[in-house]
Amino acid sequence: MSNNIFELSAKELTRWLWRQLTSMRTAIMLLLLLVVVSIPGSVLPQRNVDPAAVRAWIEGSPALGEWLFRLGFFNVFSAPWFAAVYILLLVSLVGCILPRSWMHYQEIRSEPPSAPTSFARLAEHQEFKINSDFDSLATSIKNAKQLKSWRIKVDPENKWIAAEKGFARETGNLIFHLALVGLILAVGIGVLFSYRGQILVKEGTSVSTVPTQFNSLTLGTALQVNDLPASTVKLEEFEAKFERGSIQTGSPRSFKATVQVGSADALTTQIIEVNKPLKLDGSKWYLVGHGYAPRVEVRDRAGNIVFTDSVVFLPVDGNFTSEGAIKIPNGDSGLGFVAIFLPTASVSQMSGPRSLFPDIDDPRLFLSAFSGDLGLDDGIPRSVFSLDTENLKPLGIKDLAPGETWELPDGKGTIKFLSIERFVTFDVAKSPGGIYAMIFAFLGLLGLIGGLYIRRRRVWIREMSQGDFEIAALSRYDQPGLDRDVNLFLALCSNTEKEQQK
Amino acid sequence: MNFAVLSNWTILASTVFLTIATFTAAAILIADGPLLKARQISRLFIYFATGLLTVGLVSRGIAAGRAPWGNMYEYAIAGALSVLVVYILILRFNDLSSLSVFALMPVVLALGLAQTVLYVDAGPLVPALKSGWLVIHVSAAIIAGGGFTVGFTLTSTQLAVGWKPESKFAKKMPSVEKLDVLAYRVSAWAFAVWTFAVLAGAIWAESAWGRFWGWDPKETWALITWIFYAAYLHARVTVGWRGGKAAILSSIGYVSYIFNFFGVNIFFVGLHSYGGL
Ligand code: HEM
Repeated sequence: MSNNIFELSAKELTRWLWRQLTSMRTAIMLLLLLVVVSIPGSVLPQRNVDPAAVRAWIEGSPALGEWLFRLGFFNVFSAPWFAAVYILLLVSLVGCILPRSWMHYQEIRSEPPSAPTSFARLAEHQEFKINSDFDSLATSIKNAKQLKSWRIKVDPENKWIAAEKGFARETGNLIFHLALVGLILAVGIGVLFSYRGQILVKEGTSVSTVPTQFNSLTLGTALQVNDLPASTVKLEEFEAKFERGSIQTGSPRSFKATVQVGSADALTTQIIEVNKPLKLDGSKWYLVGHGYAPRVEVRDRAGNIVFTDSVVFLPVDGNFTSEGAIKIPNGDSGLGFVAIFLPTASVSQMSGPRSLFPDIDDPRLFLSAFSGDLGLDDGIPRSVFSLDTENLKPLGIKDLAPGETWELPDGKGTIKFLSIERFVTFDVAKSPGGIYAMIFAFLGLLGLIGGLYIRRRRVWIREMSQGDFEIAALSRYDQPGLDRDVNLFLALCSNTEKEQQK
Repeated sequence: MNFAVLSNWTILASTVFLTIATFTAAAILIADGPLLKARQISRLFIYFATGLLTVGLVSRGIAAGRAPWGNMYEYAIAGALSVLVVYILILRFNDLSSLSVFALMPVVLALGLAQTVLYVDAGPLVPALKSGWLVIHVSAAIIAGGGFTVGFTLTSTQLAVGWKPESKFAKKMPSVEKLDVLAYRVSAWAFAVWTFAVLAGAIWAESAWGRFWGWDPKETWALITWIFYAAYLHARVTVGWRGGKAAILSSIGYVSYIFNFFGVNIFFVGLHSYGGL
């Protein structure tokens, strides 16, 4: 082949490229490249992990953010350039491993290699004398029980014995690499058939796995919305315990959701805890979050109830300072509240209302009332947790304890803080490839251990002249322990000598 | 008995003995003679301090009523113990007294940081960490960390010796080849343990969050560490990469391991931010 790649024919060029791609050097470069392309995924917020943070990042620096967004930097692990690197790595791996597997298969079936001409150059080399002829030595070595796992070849003409052991090393290494391919395929195919959605339930209510009830839902490419199993879960009770001692005060200690599942005639009660998901209709339900939903009642000036419900508030810190919005479009000409709920209230000049403890010790609801057109009918999607107050008229502020009522200014009616309910968020997920991925992974781990710790070595013995022998040993990868092998063979040789002298 | 107090005192005592051992080891390195007595003494101090640290960690576990690796303070203590145990095991078969000072420095540093900056009183765990997989996953990660750290000590010594082979320092150290082989063995072993740790983590993630792998920063950096060490293992059998270049790869792998421990807990928000800081 020519040295200049510009003079190669198409076929030669293809072969050259293939050889480059499947070389170890390229594998190393691709591995390093995989690191380079992963790093942005851990440094920048990712859409699949935290979409709100992505939005905030882009708002913070719109020009750069816009470009990074287009180039997929907020969704690195699904970006085409990320896929390009790992697909190249996969091709390189397969291209490297398949020929090696074939070579290894042939090597296993072939005989140990002939003795080298010079023993002295090998790592372990000794000369020794024994009172035995070559043939009986060869026979006893061939039949030695201690050498059962060795493959042995005798050349009576040139008077050498070759022994070899440790093929499982390469087998392990190949299993490791093949399992890696299996792992990546299992993960890739699994993603097509997996789904994951987040769903929110208030105490005493039910949710069903219909698309409208999910806060977010990601479906694998191979799935459609109606492939989701139809399940209904009713949250009976949610119990949260927090540390009350002086150490790590307020840290969560246990969360427990009691739910009812099944159809009306066969309801069963189940418990869902962190690390203990509920298995239901092929999906798993994971307890991932919780918060408070204050229940309020709003009446118009005539005293008619226009709204009574519990409203979900978004926790914004570890002590469950929670933010929310209460919207009553059909009240007197539109009524809205920006609200903060504190399970354990404190108000400081510096930081405003803040909760001191995550549990309900001294609950307060802080309300800012507004009136005007809430704009709920204009079709623009709006967060349920906030209220756009730009075009609204402020009415005043007030804080309420449970049971208290606020008489709104301008005769706009009343709002009463009735009680506090809890809500829970569940992740509903199914990832079918996972179990296969894990099987491959553990197979790979076994292969890796074999590939690292099994010693591949060869030992040769040659008769130089009657009664004068030499022995030499060689290990691939310069692994330690060759002296033990040599000593094993020397011991067998001297046994042979003793046998013969009897 | 108050195990929390016992734990704190034994860990402090262990730190003191290790500091003495580190200075002794430094003296051995600087002095001209072989200083056999000093070597023996330094070694005794290491054994003794390791024993104390074990008592400290176990009593911490008893005090907290759980496996003693649930926050950064405890990771640092358990990690230090893991480094010591790996180093002692290697010392049994190889005379490495001349580089003990480099093996001990990170341990003293970790213990010092733990007791000053990272300290928290013993307490129960947040619900997300209450799982049998915590014991398996975290202990595997810590054991691997011990191997990686000792491997890194050997590798950086290897790089230093290879850089100025004629220096006085290099002459006191084992040969580059010997350091290379030892570093490879301990790093490859740690790599296998790390592989297991990552897998156990994936299983735990499935039972806690419903996915084996989610590209959380901690997971991403665990994979990055894994890839660097895999690249290192390949480099060692590739012409043109073995020796110094491979050593640099494993060193970067180590940096990413450490970054995952400190950096990710501190800088990134993710499901794994349980540092307890
Ligand atoms: C996803 C990419 C890869 C990973 C994670 C990976 C991982 C590993 C690991 C951990 C070892 C260590 C075993 C040991 O030290 O004996 C290894 C060995 C090996 N790998 Fe890979 N590998 C990858 C891709 C490749 C590719 C593309 C090739 C072919 C060019 C390859 C060829 C080899 C060979 C020949 C060995 C044996 C080294 C030896 O002789 O000891 N690997 N691989």
